[in-house]
Amino acid sequence: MTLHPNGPAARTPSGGARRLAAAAATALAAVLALSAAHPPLAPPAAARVDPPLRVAAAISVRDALTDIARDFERSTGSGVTLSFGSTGQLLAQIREGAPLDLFISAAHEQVDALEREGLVAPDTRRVVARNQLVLITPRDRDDRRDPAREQHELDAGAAFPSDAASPSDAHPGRPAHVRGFAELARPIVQRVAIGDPRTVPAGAYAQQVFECLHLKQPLVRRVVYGANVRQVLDYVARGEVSAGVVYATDARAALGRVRVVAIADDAWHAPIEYPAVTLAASRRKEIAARFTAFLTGPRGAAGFMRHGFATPGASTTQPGELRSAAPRGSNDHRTASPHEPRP
Amino acid sequence: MSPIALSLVVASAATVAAAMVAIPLAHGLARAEFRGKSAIETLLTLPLVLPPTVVGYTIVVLLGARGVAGRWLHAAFDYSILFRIEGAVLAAAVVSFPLLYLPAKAAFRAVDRELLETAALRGAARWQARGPVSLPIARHGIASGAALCFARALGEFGATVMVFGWQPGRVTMPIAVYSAYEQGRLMEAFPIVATLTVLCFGLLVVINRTAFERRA
Repeated sequence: MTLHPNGPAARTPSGGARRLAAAAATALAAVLALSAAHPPLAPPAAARVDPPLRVAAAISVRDALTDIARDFERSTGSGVTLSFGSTGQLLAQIREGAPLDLFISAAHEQVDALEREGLVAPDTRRVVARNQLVLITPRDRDDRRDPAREQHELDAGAAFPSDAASPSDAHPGRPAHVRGFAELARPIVQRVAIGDPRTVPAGAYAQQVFECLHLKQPLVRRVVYGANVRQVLDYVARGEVSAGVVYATDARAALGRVRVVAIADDAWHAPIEYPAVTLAASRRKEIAARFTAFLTGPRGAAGFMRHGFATPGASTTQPGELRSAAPRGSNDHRTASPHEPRP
Repeated sequence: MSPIALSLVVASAATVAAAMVAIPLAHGLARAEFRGKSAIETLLTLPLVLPPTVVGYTIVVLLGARGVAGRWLHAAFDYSILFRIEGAVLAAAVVSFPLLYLPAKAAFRAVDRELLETAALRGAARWQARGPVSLPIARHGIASGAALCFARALGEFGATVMVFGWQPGRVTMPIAVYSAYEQGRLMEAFPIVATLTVLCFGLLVVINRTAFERRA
């Protein structure tokens, strides 16, 4: 069929088509405006000449970093632009020359890679936060605990609700819930969700825990991978799996939907640390260093702790705030005792 | 199970499942006339144009552990279709269903009405005209439909990944390709890509042959 652009048949729809195109363009513009880069957090105070510091960070520190950056802007007057993504995505962006000053990674491995490629300013790596792994189970519909109250306890400073991992609330008639990592080997556990260890750092740490506790063999064919931590949380929340392993901070943010039943001992996996590093291409290394110092300083630490992170200072032997309600030496440890944690 | 074996098992089971529903329906609807028929036919062909993720979503919402119907299954039998092989089969069967249903219906419709009337005149009961007479005549259409359905089921990704998830050592071929891509290991996916391409090429050759034979 040939088209006759001037023919009567073509003219009538073209007005409609033009209007449609205009509407589509407007919609597109709106979408673009909405999805534009994270705007600077501070109001454009008193004619700031300097462009804001551009920080790219692992998505798991999003809420904490947003708070801390706002605090930094208030106290120093310099602007900070934040962007978030999976560590792998950010790594690719940095390699492609994305205009960034500071990178906060969810693991050292990616920073090591950048370092080898000469993309990192020397001696700028600082651990700004630490995290922990927790075992989560679905929250029953008839759960008598009140998520709001648990949230209140958390806000008051407890790492986890006081009755987390308490054995007193078994539901008679229903298969008992998993209460610790070692119990994952039990046959009532149908499936366990973790992040894909090859792409999700939390999944890689979870696998280290399984290896350390000799759970890898019992769990073979029962492990399900999530494409990211959020999917793991969702599988658990929907009751599709018996349990899942995620970061303490992610579990905390989803407390209304999942229960935290155990905390992995730090000795069962490599330390979960978030290093910040200034990029070699940055022209604002001084401000980047100041922001890094702010992150590791008392106000940064307070911001991270508010969101459930442990601070770099909190070591394994000296339990930080996060561990205050941890079932240390409780049934999880006892049941796991035949398999000594890795030295 | 290797991705190839798993995919072949899932696609075969999905084709059988789709055939068990599609062939009787195609036969029944080929000549029937009733109110609401077009609505039913539209519904049956909907998976052809619907994104597979919508099919996956529907399965999860209906049959998941907290799903509309799935919660009863879960409460009674501690069963959820997610991550199970029957879930993968269901997802692939629903998505590829129209590819078997449409050719089968066309084939049944093409069966000469006079032939069926002759069969009836010669004393064939209704059920005999249905099966023993119609089926052999419609077999080419059904076979090419089944081959198309199998090929589509073999390549099903969107709905399958939502229902079957991603289990170490238990991935279908399309999921294995995507997983290798996501990890930046494109070369690892090459044998599977080659296998899928050759397999589907062969299937299409068979389909084209049967279609040609039918015309001749």
